[in-house]
Amino acid sequence: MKKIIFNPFEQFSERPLILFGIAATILLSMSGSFFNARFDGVLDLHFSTPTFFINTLTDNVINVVILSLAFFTLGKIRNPKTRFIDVFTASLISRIPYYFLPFFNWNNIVMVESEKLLQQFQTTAPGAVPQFETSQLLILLGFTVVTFLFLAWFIYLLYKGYKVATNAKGGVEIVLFIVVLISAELFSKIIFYLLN
Amino acid sequence: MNPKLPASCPSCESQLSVTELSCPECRTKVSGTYALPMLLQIPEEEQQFILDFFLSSGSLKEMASQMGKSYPTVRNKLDDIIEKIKNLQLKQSL
Repeated sequence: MKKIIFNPFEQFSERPLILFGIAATILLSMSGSFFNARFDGVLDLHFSTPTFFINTLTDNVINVVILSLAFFTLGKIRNPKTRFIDVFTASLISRIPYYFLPFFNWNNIVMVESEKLLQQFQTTAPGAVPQFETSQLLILLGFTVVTFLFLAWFIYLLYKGYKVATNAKGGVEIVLFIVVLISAELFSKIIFYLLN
Repeated sequence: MNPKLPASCPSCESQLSVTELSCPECRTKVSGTYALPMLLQIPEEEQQFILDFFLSSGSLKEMASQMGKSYPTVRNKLDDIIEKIKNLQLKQSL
């Protein structure tokens, strides 16, 4: 079970992983439209209204394509035997945990509380500390913790998939992986900026 | 239980060599110093992997399905063994 959750790439061949990944991407993209979340970057999640299924699905397709191309390029440089299909599978499957985050914006709770927080900062006099409600802090802190956990799961899965696809070993590969992940994030932000 | 053939010295970890061979039928013994063949110098699990690879006609896909592993995982294992054997060859040629 642990292997399925944290490293399915070692055990399962590309066909079932791709089928599962595509089905999960399509189904869970709906969560974005139900809970008003946009995945506008490889590592991004923002709440806004209104959000449509086609928007979240397009976001996720763009993110998977950017991740696949970025890590395939790095993989091919580091190990010429790297296959695109394996990197694509890693990109597709690793993002699945991220698709569960919109569920935490049930009834727009996170969006409402974060907008309230922004307003509190804007209306408070410079130098003064805004008056926060305990429930507001608990909601935002809880969502931050959950986001970090799911982000860590996503990156861990991506690294494991990349490792299996390229036979990467050692510290240099981890550094290169992080550099490419940040570059993919920056590139995706430019793409989303141009598209919107 | 089949005892494992040790490839390195348990005391100093140097490469072991064969110094005696004997016939189980007539008990004739041959003494000398013979280097262990290359494939016997790698762990038993890796020897089995090479045998399985040979028996599946070199098909990594077939091996992957037999082992219940993904294709890139099996290919990585093969690449690691190739790398290990290349290093052993290099060490022997020095």
